[in-house]
Amino acid sequence: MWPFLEGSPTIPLTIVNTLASGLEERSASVTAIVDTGYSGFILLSEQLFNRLGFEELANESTSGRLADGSLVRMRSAYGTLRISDLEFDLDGLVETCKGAETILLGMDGIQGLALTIDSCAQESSARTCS
Amino acid sequence: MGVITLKIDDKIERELRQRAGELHGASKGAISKSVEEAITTWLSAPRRAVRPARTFIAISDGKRVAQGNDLKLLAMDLRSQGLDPRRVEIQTIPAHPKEVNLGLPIRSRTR
Repeated sequence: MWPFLEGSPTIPLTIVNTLASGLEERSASVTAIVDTGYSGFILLSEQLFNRLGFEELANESTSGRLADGSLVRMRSAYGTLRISDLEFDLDGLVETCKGAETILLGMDGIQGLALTIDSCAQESSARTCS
Repeated sequence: MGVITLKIDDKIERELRQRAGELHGASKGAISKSVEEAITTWLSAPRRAVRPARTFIAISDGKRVAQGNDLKLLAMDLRSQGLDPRRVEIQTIPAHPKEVNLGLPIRSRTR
């Protein structure tokens, strides 16, 4: 069970720059907020994105549509999110954009997981599908 | 004991025979023993998520130079060819959407 953060469900996970592992292993253990309104994989702050070396790999250009319909430019690169407790690895497009501060885990980042949100206990948990 | 007949790439077969010989000698069961060890390692690795299969490919000068069913395999393929992942473009098949939602759409209505 993982405690809520500011009223939102969270998942502790490790973000791994898998492609850079031959160069220099770069990973970070973080607590991500589950955001079902975000359709992407995982959103990092620019600082963390750069620190993990994703900016060196960044070659996918994407746009993010905000709730009001406006578009923001995103920088992105492929990486892996790992939930050690569940022995779970998932590859996807790690993204960042100007002003991003909170680490958001989007709908593409919870594929293969069954999440349980317990608002009474202010806790969340997950298990793998298989 | 189960019996499985496999069809594998020639290069992998050569490497398998060489490594099996190094590890278990020239005995008759050397290859079976090595394959069993490899499968055991594979089964004990973290489970990957169940979602539509996605192939990761590396493009250089407009040509596909490496690929893998996950980033780990792609990284291994790049490394085996001495290719720097920072010098190639990574894409997936099927492609990722070019636009993501950063919040559920809202619409205000005035009466």
